[in-house]
Amino acid sequence: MMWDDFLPLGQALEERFPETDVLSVSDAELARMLGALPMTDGAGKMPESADFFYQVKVAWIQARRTEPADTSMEADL
Amino acid sequence: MSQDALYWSPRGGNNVQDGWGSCHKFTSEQTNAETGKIEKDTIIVDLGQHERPAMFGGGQYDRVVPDLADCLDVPNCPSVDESDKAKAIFLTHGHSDHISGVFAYAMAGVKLPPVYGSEFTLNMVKKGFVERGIPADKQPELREIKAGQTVEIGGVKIRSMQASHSIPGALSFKISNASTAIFHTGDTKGDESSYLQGGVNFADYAEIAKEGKIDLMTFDGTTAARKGHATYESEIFDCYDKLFAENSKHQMIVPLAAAHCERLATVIAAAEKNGKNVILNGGPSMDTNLLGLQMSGIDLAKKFPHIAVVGVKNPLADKLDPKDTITITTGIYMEKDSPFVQYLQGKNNGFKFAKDAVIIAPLTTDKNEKMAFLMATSERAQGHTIITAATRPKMYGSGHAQADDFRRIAGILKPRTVAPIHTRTPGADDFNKLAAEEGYGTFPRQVKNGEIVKVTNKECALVAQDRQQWFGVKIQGNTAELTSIKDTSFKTAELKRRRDAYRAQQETQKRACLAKFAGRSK
Ligand SMILES: [Zn+2]
Repeated sequence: MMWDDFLPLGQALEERFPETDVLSVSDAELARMLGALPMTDGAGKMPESADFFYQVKVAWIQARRTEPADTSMEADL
Repeated sequence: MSQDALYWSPRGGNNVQDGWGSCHKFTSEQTNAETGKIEKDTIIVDLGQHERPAMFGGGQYDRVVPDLADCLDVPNCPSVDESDKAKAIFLTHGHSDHISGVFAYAMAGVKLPPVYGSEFTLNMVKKGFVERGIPADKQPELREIKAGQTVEIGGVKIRSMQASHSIPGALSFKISNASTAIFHTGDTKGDESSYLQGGVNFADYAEIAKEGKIDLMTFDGTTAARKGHATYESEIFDCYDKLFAENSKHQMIVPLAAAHCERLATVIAAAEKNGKNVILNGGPSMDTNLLGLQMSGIDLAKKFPHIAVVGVKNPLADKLDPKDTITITTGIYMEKDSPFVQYLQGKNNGFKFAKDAVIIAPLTTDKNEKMAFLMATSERAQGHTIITAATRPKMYGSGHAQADDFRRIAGILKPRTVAPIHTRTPGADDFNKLAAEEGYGTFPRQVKNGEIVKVTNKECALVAQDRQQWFGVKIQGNTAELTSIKDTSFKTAELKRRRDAYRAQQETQKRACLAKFAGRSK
C-alpha cells in the first residue's frame, strides 16, 4: 500500500468508521484512524501534512457517493 | 514593433447555444528588439468541461472538453511546435465548467503546463484528482496565486484581481505584454458584499485602470444584458433574514446548490442573526466543498460563533431542537446525491423533517422545474409551507453581472473594446448592443469558439474564423481517451426533436407546479 492510494484508504475508513462526521475529524484523530486500518500495516511513514489529510478526507467522502461527483451545478454558473 | 500583438481565441464558453466549457487561449507575439525575432508566448485561461455531453455525438461521450491539440501534445494528434505550446494554465475559479478539462487531459496522459489559481481553486483541483484516482505522476504542477499578484510567463504578464462569484477565490486577470493589455473578467458579478471572504473591491479596478489602457475587455456575458444589477449577497441576506424571522417557530429547510459556497455563508449569517442553529446536510457534494473551505482556512463554525454550525453526522446535531434549527441541504437542481431529494423521493435516509417544517427554496419554476415538480408532488412534502423565489425574488441571485454591473466595471476600466464571454449567441448579441450604446467598441457579432482576435494598442480585429472543435472524452477507470468531435450534433434534427420534447415536458411540469403551489405558497 502507498500513502497516496487515497481512494482505497477512503473506502477502508468508511467501512471501519461509518457515520463519522468527516468534517470535524482533526488531523491527529485521522492519523490515529489511519494507523488502526489493517491495510496500513507495514506501510512506510505517514506523510502527515495538511495536504495529505485533506486528500484522505476527500477520498473518505468520495466513498459515500452513490452518484458521480461531477454534476453540473447551476444552469448559469 | 508594428507586429506586436496579443491574440485572443475563445476555445470554449462562447458557444452558439450555451456558455459551458470555458477556455480561452491568449498568445503574445513581440519582436525582440535585439535579435529581430518574434517571440511567442501562449497561456490558457480556464479549461472547463461542457456540462451537457449528451448534446454531442449522439450522447456517446462521458465528457466533452475544449480541443487544445494546437497548443498541447495530445495522444494521436500531430505534435505541437515548441513555440506554439501553452506555457501555463490560469484558472479563474473552481467550478467544473472552468476546471474539469484539466482532469480529462491529465487522465488522457497529456503533460499539462503548470496550473495557477487561488488557494480555494487549487483545493478544488486537488479534490478532483483524488476523486478520479489520478496518480501524482499524471498531475500538473499546481502554483498558488493571490489576488493582486502578477506572474510573468515569458513576455506576458498575468495580473490577478479578486472577482466576486458564487464561490470563493474567484479571480479576474489582466493579461498584457509590452504594448497591449486585455482584461479578462472570468465569472464575476461586481458585488462588494460577501459573508465569506470579501467581495469585489472597486478600488482594485481603479488601480488597474491607472496602470494603463485596456485594449480589450472580455466580459462575463452570462446575464450582462439583463436590466439592473445582479442581486447582491447583502440583499439576499436581507431576504433570508426576513424569512427566518417570519417562520421562527418552525424548523426550516433551505436547499441550495452544493458548490454555491458564497450563498451558504449568506444563509448562515442570516441564521446567526436570528439565533438559529444550522445543520449542514447536503450530502457528499456539499461536504467536499465544505472541506475545501476548511482547507483554505475558512471554518464556518468559527466564522459564526454565536450559533452551532454542525454537519448532520456530528453528535451535536441530534441534540439540537428542530424548532431552533435551519437545515441547509442541496437539491435545487434535483441533484441525485442530495439527501433532501432522496428523502422526498421516498428514501428513508434519516432526513429530519418536522411535521410543520417550512421549505425555503430559492427556486424559480422555469429554471428549477424538476425540483419544483418534486416538491409539489412528493407525498412527504404535502401539507408543508413552501416558499420559493417565485414570490420572494431576492431569495435567488446568480453569480453573474447584469447591465448596471457592466456599466460600473467598464466605467472604471474604460476598455477600448469589449467582447462577451461565457454566453450563447443571443446573449452575446444583446450584450454587444448594450456595450455599443454605452460607447465601447464592440464586434459586429459574438466572437465564437475557435475564432481568433488580434489585439493591438490600436485596434481589435477578427483574423481567423475557425470552426470550433471539442474533444469527446471516454473514461475508463482513471484513464481517458480524447477524440475530436468534428460536428456538434445539436444542429441535427434528432437533437432538435429531443430538445423540443424536453421543453414541452418542462412546460407541462411548470404548469402542474404552479397549480399545486397556488394554494400553499406565501
Ligand atoms: Zn462559469
